[in-house]
Amino acid sequence: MAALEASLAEYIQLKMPAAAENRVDQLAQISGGASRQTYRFRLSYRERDDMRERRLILRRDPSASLIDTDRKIEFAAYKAFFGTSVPVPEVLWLEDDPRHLGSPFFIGVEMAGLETSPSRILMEPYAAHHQKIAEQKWSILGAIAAHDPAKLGLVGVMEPVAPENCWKRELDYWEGVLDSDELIPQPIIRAAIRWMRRNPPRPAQKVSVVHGDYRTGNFLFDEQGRIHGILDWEMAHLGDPLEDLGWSLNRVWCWAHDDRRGGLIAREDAIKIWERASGLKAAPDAIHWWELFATVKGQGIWVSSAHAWETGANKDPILVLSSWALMNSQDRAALELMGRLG
Amino acid sequence: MRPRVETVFQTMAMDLIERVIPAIGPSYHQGTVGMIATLLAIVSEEWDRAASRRIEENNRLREMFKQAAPAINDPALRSRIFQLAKTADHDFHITALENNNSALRAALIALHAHVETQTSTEARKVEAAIWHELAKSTERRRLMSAQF
Repeated sequence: MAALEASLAEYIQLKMPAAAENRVDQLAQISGGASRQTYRFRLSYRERDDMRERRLILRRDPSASLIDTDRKIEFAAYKAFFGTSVPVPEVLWLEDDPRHLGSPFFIGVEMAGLETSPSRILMEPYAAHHQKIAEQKWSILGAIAAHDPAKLGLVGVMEPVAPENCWKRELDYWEGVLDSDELIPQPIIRAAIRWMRRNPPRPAQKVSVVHGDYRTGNFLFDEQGRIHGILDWEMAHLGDPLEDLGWSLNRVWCWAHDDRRGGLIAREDAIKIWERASGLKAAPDAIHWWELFATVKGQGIWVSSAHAWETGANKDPILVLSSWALMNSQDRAALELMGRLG
Repeated sequence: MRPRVETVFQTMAMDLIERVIPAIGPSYHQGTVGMIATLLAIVSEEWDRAASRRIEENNRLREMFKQAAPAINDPALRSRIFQLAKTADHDFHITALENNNSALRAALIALHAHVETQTSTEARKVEAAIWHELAKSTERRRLMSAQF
């Protein structure tokens, strides 16, 4: 850790040439999404006659991760939404050159003293605020959908897609992940894919920014039930906003082991909040398609995590746990949506 | 092996959660040990049923393939399904049973896709049997700790 602290201090000196006596300490790895190594640290420096201190976050690429993502897009999404109605932490510097810290990374400001854990959200004092958290969770998701990607400056950063092609691009991609990474056959998800291709959804009402992993566990909340930051934009892209809503309703995020989505509220209530905030409609046939898509995408991620652990250098237990713990639940979610659970 | 493997792993998992994790400082390492404890708990649940559920499923798939063969119009697929219906599990190592299961489930995907395109009553019966078996397959794999 001392070597990484020193390298970080050297790098920040390049970015803050007016600052003196740069020092990095209290570096500690934390949980922070599955695709990057995340560390918190303290930066101390002198500015003119004053000593200053900042709590910062380092997000560094690992050798292999659960999700193959582009850090430039993640960084751009944080930048674009900072200061808007979608709360996100401030990001400071993006670095592609691996010579500084061994691999590409970016640095942002830590929002300290907050909680993200899906298991903690089920406990007091958070459990008393589930309705309040849910109102914000799906309202913020609606706000993401309502924002104009062009005005956010993200059209040139994220790959464009026509409203009628959103579904096909995503389904092709995740079917490709299954084709390349599955270690054992997936008859349920393959049946779901065939059904989805025979019954494509209506074109997107609009093309918006899709967070890509919007769920309980990827936002920061406090003991009063206020959401302060949406995290883990590593799979952000342009697409059908119903994709995010479908993902947020995925059965595998029913952390309370009951029907409440995200461990918080009923599916229908979440949809109503989202519709109100986004100004869009979640037509039953369309949201059904995107919920089923969420099971394909989920299985794609769990399959590729197992593949990465078995074939790659990354032996993080999260890669095994996500596969072992979620694949069968994901299959059951797909069967339920197809009316085949029995 | 005595003490029984599933009991040992379950006890070790609880030991990690109740005794070791509170003694660890940084949250990242707590999280890592928590995940390892959960993996041990999953193995403890899977250990005793691992061979049994694979043998049961392989036999059910072979029986279904025997019944399904007449509904298959594609000669190559019919031959593949016939051949697999005649196989049996002779090696009861988990890896061997898993390999047989993968061969059977890969053929199940092809059979399912085929009957979906057919309009005959026989095809509908096979399709219904496949859906029934797929639902059963998730019951066999279900974990006590699963969200769904």
